Amino acid sequence: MWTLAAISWEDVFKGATVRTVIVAIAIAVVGYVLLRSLSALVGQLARRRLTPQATMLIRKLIFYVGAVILLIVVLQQLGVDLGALLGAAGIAGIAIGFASQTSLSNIISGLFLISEKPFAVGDWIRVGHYDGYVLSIDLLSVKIRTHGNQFIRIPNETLVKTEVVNISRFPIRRTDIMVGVAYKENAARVLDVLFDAAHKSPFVLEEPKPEIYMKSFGESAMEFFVGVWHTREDWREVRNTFPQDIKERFDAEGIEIPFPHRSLYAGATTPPFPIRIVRDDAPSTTPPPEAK
Amino acid sequence: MNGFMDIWRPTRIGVNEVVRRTIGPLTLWLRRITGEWHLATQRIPEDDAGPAKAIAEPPEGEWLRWAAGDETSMFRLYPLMPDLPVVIRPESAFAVPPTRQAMLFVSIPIWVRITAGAETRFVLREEATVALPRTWFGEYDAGELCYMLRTRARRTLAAADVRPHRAICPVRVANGWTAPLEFDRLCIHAAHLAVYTAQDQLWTNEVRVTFRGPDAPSQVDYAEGAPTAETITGILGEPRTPATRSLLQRSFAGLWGLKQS
Repeated sequence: MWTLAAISWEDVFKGATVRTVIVAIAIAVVGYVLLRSLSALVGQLARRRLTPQATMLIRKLIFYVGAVILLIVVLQQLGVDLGALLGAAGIAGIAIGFASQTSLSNIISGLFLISEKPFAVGDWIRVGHYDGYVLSIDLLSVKIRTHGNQFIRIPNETLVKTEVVNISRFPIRRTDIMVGVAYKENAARVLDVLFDAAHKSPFVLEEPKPEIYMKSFGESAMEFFVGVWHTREDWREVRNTFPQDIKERFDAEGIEIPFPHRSLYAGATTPPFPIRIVRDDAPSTTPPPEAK
Repeated sequence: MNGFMDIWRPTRIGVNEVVRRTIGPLTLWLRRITGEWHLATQRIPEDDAGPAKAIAEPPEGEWLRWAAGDETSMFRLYPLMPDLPVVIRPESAFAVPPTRQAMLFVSIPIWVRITAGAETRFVLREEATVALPRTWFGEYDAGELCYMLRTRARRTLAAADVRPHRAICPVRVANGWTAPLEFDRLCIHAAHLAVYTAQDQLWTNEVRVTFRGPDAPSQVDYAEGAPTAETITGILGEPRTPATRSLLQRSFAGLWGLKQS
């Protein structure tokens, strides 16, 4: 504030009279209205050819540049000596520059996002822990709406510095499911059943062909990889119905999905541990059978 | 009700009357009450379809309802082509030499458009006679959603799958490139096809696809009027989308098509 206190405001506004003030106010009002109209008109024309983000940028650019010019005209009308103000503005500019580093970084990052177009309004993106639909791409931040209907504001600088996954960029997607099958089952038959389940699902595309294969020998089961293709619009139907389809087919075919289990051995050649099955109606003091 | 053509003629239906129509695997029931039209449909597997397998009774509680005035008691069925492009595969791999052409006959299951009214018709619903699986034709980042025909395209009409609920589509494949054309999938935009009748069989107009190289879209022409191969008695169903004279579309997929990653 000491910079403003150092200015002699009487000297700055020495050329102002009642008449010039009225004219200055009129110029400001008319100029503001014209500026808003011009910005809106350019925005309408740009919207036909450019993305909404680029249109927003052009509108804001025209408006703010025009506002600065309008301010200069109004100040000159008031007889302001601009030289005195520029000196103070220079020092204030340095202070503002330091204070607005983050905002400037976000603005510049926003320009990069607009030019690079990694995503657009309406896309489903994932950034870090968050994923949702893009509501708007603004100068300082991007707003998304999560599936739980939460509003999240992500600074543009964060988006430029981190990985962004655009889940809905391409028209088709693959949903991957891992299925564990008991070791006693015939792997070839399991593959046939999985392919048939994919073939019968109304949401799974015939082509690209499903990718289904035995991926690994797990601790408790044979692990099968099931990757089925679908349109991006059908992801929810596939997620909700296809695992159920697999389960129903396995049940119909008698294919077991085992629980995780462990086999316990006392040693390499010892018999299994003895166990005693207690009936629900047996008294708790029933002695165990004698060990043989 | 007898005769193939009787299905497609305008029919009067009285109040509280139920009319049943069977077109291949698809059976539909229409019922008219005061101020409303009701429709129920049921589809069985295509391989099970036949006169003996016609479903007598509509499924319980699955009637669709439309509010309509009592000014009309007429309804009519129209055969249509599917609402998505269809991908066909030739019965066996073959190559078309440069500057030569080959004829294929494709059997496409029809859709049925159910309309009510006489002079001023309104569409109640469209139903597919066969539930076709969907597929993707194109690249992983661009292409179009299509139906996959399970039956193969045949080189002779005698080998084609001729059934009352299928329309035979003659496809003339011409190779306008300098190298042999080998393809295992062909995409036809069936929305541009009309449906004609000839001796109790449905036909579409002829499609001519000219291959212009792997990097250029093919030139596709839809013949105006009925195919010349058969004695056509009339047009039954208009194209969903009138075709312009010549279209440039990606139509072939072969060795350069979708590759698994």
